Amino acid sequence: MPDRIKVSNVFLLIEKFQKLDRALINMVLLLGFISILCLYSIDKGQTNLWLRHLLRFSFAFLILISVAFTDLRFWFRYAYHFYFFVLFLLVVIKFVGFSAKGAARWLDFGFFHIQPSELAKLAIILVLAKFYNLVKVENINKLFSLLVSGILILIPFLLVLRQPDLGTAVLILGAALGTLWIVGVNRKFFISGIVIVIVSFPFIFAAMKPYQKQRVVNFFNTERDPLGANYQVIQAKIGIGSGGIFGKGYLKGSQSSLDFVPENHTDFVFSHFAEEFGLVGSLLLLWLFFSIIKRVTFIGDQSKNNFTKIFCYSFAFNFFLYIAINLGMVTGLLPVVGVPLPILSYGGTAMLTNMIGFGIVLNSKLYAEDFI
Amino acid sequence: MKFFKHRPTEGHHTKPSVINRRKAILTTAKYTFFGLIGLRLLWLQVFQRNKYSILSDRNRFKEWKIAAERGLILDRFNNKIAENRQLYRIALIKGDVTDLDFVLVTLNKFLKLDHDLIEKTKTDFIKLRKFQPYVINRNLSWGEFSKINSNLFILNGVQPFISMERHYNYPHQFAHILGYVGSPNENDLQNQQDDLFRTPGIKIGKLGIEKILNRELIGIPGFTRFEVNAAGRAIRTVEFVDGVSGKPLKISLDLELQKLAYEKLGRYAASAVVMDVKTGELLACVSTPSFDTNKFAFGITQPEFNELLKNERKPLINKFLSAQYSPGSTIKPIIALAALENKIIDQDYTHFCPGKIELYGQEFYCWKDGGHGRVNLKDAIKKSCDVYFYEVARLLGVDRMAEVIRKFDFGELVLKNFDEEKKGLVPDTKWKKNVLGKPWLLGETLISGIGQGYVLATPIQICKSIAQFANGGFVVEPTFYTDQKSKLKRMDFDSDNIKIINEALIAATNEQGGTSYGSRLTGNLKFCGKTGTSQVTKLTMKDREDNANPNARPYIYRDHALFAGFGPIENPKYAIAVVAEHAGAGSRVAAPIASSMFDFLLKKRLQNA
Repeated sequence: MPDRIKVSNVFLLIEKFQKLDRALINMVLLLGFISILCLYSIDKGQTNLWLRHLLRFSFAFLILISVAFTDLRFWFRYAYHFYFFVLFLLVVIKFVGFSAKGAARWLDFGFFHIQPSELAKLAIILVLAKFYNLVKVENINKLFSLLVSGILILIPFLLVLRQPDLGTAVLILGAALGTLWIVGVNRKFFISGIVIVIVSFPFIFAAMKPYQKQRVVNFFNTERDPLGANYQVIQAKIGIGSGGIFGKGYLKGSQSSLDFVPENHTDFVFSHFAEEFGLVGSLLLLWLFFSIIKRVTFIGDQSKNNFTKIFCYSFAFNFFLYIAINLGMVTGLLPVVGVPLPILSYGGTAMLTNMIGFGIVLNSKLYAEDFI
Repeated sequence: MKFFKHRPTEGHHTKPSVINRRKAILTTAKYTFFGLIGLRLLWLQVFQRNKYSILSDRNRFKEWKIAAERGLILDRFNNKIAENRQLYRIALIKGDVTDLDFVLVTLNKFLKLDHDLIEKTKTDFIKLRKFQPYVINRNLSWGEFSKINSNLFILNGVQPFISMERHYNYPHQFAHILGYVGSPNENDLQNQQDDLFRTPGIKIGKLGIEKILNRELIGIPGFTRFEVNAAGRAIRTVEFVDGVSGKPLKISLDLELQKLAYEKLGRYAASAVVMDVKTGELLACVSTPSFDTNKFAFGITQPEFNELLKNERKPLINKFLSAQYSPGSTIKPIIALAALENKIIDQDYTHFCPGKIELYGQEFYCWKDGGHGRVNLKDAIKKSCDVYFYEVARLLGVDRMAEVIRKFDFGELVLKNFDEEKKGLVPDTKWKKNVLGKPWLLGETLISGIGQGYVLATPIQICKSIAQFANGGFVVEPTFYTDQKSKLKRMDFDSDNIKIINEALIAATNEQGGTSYGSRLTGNLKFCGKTGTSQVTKLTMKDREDNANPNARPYIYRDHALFAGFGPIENPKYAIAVVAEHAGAGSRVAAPIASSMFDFLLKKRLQNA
């Protein structure tokens, strides 16, 4: 008997493997490959950053596959647990986290640094997906459900905002609002929300940290202070602009390689990519990102249950937000907020979060026929 | 299936339609934003590409310009008077120097640097940007240089290098005419349109010909283009372009003559100008006392400079261009010409010189006690009779006198491109009324007739005027270029009148009784000229009695000695003006100096050629 079970499990695994969404996996692998090429090119292989990125990507990819093979019902069952675990980490970080550039964001697990605020983005989508799976469609705009979802969103949002980490907080809020939009929360709430934000902007501005105020002011006046606060964006734009249509060629970019662009490995990595590969390369990368988003949405479309539908759409939106805010910031369309470019940027947790997200999306495909 | 007990019972099937509708709207938003990013990239990478490419290159490339070797300066016989020498120096590179104090202490062991230099290096070093080299202001001997080179392994950030620096072979003799080079100061930099003067280590002409022909001499700097990172450290050399050395410059001066003049003038605060009477080429321009231009090129020390400033003989003043003197009797040929031209007198006009005359209770003396007796024009010039010229001036009037003096370009710049050159002054009634607000007095006309009073002239103006007599009444434009052919233009004077005066001048030097007879040359080539003794103050009776001993008066009240002459007397070629400040009588001091220069010119340059 044990033998039979074992064999069937193996067959199950093979069957699962065959059912995995190859297109999405290939696109993610391609993105990972591009990221390693790009990081290698920034310092021409003089540091082993690209190697560490490769290790992290490989590790995260294993996680992706593991998540993809995990029963979807596990994620559904433990969504709340995961959410509270992340909240717990966010509180713990206040006391034992170590800080980078004035913000306590990281938890040290020895070999791996975890940024709980990144995990919070995933947790908020999961928890909202589960919550709205349970809420009846006519109750969605009722006070009770709005209140619950509001609290679910606000707690991690405020905790991250207090770190302080405006970029991630905005992403958490953005992802959560995206989920609320998808599940059908009444439009008037969004419209009035936008009105409230605009009206209360002076108060928000007053409550900002000096450096955040600086960024907002600089965004509206980009030629101001070229060596100080605007240096980063100006240098990034120089990198992008000097790439031209076909780019300077691989390993021939100078702006990031000679350290003119700060954060050249992390948030501003796109500047280097655009410098070396030009408009053609940049548009192809945009197309790759967009294809991934479309694929994730497509998987959501095929799903027959609301939990995975909501998750896929929300995750696609979250992934879009990352790209939109990062590229908007690097090209000078948006103010500078610390948002990495998914997978391309050097950094552990953001990659881990996104890979787990992709894992759940792949998982959704495997269980697309199931009703939860 | 206990995991799924929260299964909603109602509304479950209506949900997907809501979700799909909302998703579609969101997808549209995503398309829009991606389109926006795409357009932004198009704008940055296609339409603004050039702007950003330039900015990118400006970021990554830095040029280190290397000053080119300055052009040589040669005299008319191709002798080098200014050249360049290899200098051994060391630079400290900020960022590579790990311990400045240790480096300086070690350098001190090899070089014996003085304390001030060490302190200055320390303070200057702090202000430097990273990776900028700092050149220690001291020249090393070959021995020191090789010692440093063999000890480089302990001297982090020390960079020995060889540079070419200006060297003047005759620093004193040519100081005022050649000038010197130095590092550009803020003033020099501000007046420039390009950034040539910002080349590190470049030396620019500060004075004289070095300044006037700076652009020709300086050449084109070479440069090394580096790729640098954001911190400014050079990553690699992209290209190296050799500079173009400055053109060698040949000037009209005669080294031997210049040396001779400098030697002869040496004792006095004096100047001498020698020019070719036909081409205007300047053969010698000397001003004494002089200073060492080599010291200036390397930055003279403050005490040495103060000493030069304080010296009452004013070594820093370029006397042949910017010292203004009463021309004294050297102006008499021009006054005589004015009188002849205006037909006030002819060459036979005589006047009786009693030694002094009286006008409105004021006495006007002739230089010779007891007077010259009855003199005609030739004698008056030959013996330099003052009373004769008082009378001529009185008959002529100051305005007609001034008109002719101006025709010799007195009151005008002669070389024009020397900043320090002075114009001199030709007074007339209008000038006095406009400038001093007083009417002209007859007494002033009289003393103007012997080159005293308000009239002021520079030595080069005096030399030019005598040259224009020598060549028979043609305009000459003095120049230090050898290749400029000045076209001869007649002055509007009767050439017979010029000839009359030239004959008188020849007599003044070569006939018994002439003022410069004692300085005459005895060979077959002779020179001639007019002496002048210009009073600095009005003389008292006692002064007149002491006249035999000019040294009785304090230095600054002594007479200036002048001489202006030309030679050879047939077919003149050279004109010389000598002015020795506070040196006494022109016939005793200035004429012998001019004589020795004529001796050299006529014997060495004319007969031997």
